[in-house]
Amino acid sequence: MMWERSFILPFKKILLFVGIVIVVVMVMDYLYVDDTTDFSRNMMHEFYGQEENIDRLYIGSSHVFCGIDPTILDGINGENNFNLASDGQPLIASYYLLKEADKRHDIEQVYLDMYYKCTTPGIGNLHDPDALQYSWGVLNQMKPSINKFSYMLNLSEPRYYYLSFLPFMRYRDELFHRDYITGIVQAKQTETWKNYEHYRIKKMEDQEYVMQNAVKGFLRNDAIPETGGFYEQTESGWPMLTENPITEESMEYLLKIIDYCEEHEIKLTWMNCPITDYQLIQSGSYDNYVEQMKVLSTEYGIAYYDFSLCKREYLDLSPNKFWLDKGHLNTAGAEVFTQFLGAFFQAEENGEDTYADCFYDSYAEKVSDLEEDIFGLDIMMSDEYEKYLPDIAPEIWEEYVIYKIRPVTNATADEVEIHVCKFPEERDKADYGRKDYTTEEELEIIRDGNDGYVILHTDEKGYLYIEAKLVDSDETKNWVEIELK
Amino acid sequence: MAFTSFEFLVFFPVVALAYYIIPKKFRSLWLLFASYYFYMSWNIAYGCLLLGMTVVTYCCARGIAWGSGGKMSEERRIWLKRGGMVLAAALTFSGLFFFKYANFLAGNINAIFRRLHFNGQIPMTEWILPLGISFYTFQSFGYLMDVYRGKTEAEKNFFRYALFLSFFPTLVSGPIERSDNLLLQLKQPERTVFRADNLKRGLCLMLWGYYLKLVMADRMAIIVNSVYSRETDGIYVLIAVLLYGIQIYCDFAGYSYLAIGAARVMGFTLVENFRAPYLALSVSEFWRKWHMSLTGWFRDYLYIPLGGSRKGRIKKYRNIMIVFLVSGLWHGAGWKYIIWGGLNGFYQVIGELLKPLREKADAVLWRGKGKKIRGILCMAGTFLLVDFAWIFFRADSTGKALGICKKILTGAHLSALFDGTMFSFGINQAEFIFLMLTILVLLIVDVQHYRQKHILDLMQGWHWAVNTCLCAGLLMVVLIFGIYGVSYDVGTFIYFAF
Repeated sequence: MMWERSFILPFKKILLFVGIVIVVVMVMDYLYVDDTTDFSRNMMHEFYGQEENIDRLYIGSSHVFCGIDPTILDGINGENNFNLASDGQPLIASYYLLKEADKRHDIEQVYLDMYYKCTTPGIGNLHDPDALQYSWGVLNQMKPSINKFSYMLNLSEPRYYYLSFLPFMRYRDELFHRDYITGIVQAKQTETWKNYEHYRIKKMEDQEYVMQNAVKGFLRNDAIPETGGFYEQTESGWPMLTENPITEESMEYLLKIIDYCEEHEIKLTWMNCPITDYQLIQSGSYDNYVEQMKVLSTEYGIAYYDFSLCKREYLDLSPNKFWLDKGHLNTAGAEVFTQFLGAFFQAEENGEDTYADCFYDSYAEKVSDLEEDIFGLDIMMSDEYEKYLPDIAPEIWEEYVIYKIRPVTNATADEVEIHVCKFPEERDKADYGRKDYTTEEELEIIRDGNDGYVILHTDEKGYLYIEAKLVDSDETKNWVEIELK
Repeated sequence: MAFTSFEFLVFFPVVALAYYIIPKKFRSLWLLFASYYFYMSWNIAYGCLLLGMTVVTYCCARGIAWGSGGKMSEERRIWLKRGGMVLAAALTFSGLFFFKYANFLAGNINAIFRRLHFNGQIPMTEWILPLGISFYTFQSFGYLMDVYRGKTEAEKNFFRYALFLSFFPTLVSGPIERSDNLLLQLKQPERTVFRADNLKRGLCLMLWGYYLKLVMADRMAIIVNSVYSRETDGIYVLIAVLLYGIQIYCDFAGYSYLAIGAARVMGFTLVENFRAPYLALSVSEFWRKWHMSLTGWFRDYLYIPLGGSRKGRIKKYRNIMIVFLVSGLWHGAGWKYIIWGGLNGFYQVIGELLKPLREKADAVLWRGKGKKIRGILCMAGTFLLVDFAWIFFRADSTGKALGICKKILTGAHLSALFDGTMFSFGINQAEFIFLMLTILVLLIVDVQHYRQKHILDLMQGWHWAVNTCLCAGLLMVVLIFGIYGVSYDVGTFIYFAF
């Protein structure tokens, strides 16, 4: 009796206590954790279901799972290829995913995608609270193991462990939102979710698309950008790439990947999936990144290929029909790119010089070699009131909005025309680009180099139609209509 | 390193574990080291201030004790003791005065100078009020008074006395400990023996403290802060005022439970600080159940020395008013705190004056079951009176407090409750209902506490499985619904400001 009280009872209490905690955590995870919109769930499910040995592994960001189709590569190199890529995958995730894959398969070759946004400040500050979310998708789906536990411990500062160990904690903003919970539960009760058939993607800007079955970590997506080309609206512009932009934390994991591959005799290749020229020009100086990668490649003896620097005679992905958005290839683009990629690596492995002259040395060289073109439109809110509203007192600046329109182009200012019109109602999109506006509807534009500035009063409502074209071109490829708010 | 910080969640288990692992003779020193580390984690200079206060009061107490026992005439002894006590009081309160009241005094004198068109201005200091100075100043003065009165012996062991003053659970926001409790326990080596009961009870108290602070107080703070920071209908101001009364209770009682629980884990029993104050039937009863360690301090070291209730009714009322005005000033150097203290004193004086009338009315109006209704009405009345005084406590200034009163009285429209504004103050309908449920839970626990039975004592008679479920459930409620981490703007404890 005494023995039972001293030993059995505390044990029972602890067991009950832990049991309650586990049950509550499981219920909360089911109610709140939103993996219904996460590609990683399907990808990791398929990864764990792979019976055949994975020979070649492709790890990295969404550019990999959108741009590389392993089944095409299987046909080319006769081996089993697999994409273990995830949204905004930071190098810490790549490192632990590589270990996870190598634990289960005899990996021969790893292609590590070095997407610049995943290694530079932002996601590249791996342990920052804002960057953690890029790990959670794969972390949620990894099977319990020492590797996963180690990933959780190394992912963040200890004060944020609760977010890694208790996934529902990340969704505490939604704690009292019934619609959210209902949506999650409904999605999790569907057969498609239960059977890992597809995942739904949340509304992105003004498009909503469902991406179909992931096969070997490749995501089929047939969407193309709406007519009018690429454009983006931002409050303050985009962060520019500085010299040596790769963060220290990213470097730490890059070196760990190198060491791991060396120790386990895995051949490592660094690569960059193609990105549109619109995004690369937008990044300020993409060559800062290219330079650092080249230095690292020489220093550590790792092959590095940036397919955004490919000459068009080898790989032409310039038509918009190959793109889902400014950074991701769609199914058509992925097919073209994967065919090229397979052939490229086959030639490299066979020591052929078919592609010896395939790459430009720098991105600047590529841009200067391209025909004059407008690759997209950036629309920003400017705070240059003093310059453009010199006669207005500073206290009433807030009554005005200055739109800065920047055609992302390799043409000079003289070669680019910008037109801006204001309409009271939203027009039929079919009318855009037909120049069916009258000159009376056009607003005055202040030009400063390639940029155009339009000043409006905050009271003005309606829609702003913006287009840019090359002076000597009859065709207008870049336009957008935005609502004034 | 607040009790709700991540750092404390690491610090406390390490301190507690090491405390039981290291040899007994070093345990007090370990706690002293941990307490100074805890305090200096806010600001290293705080440690110097606390050490200075410790040295001064230790020496003063030893001096008073020496004065009491030396070979000298009775007259000389009394003179020496009193002189020593006055000097000790002056030295003890000088730090508090300098950091807390110097600017207030200078500001008021400058205002008078301006009125009189006098050009001179007293310069203001830019010192920040050190955390917890009001608490440990009062604790050290209480000890000096006890030595002076011969109630306790002057502590010879400097390190033990230093620990009494700096003990980390009580250091920043109390409870204000007494020499006959904590100091006495620090002398008892049997206290340092690990007992599972202490661990369990301590952790349960801490869990309840976290519930009050993180789940309730900080959730109410979202609404209160939102209403106080913007123009809105008077009905919402009224709701915020009512909620603030509960918020400050949960905030401070939560802190006290955390302190008492943390001390209990290490084998020490601290004085009780709250006993269901909002169930009190009168304002005087409220003050016997609210911040009991401070109320007790004022009773023993101010009210009774002033004569208490022994020198006639007028002096009793005067003494009550003095105590509450000083209490107001203790909370903060500002007229709004003095008005708050004055209002609470005033309530009690009026309560005393109307006592005969109330007794007669009770005899006529409330008989049999009617007494329960009377009790509920008294509780509600007490809550409203106390809550009204909190308006001055919470508002940024006296002028703003009066503005709030005006808004409630003239700008409240019941219809505004249904126009959708209700859930625009940071929490939605579901969260509001949850908040009401948490208040209900608090009420149930407090009713038991009011009946002299703490919920933890009551639980001892329940089946172990029920108790385990309750503890695990409470832990999960705190984890899930607590306001902490990246999703929230985490608030500090209200009483840290005093």
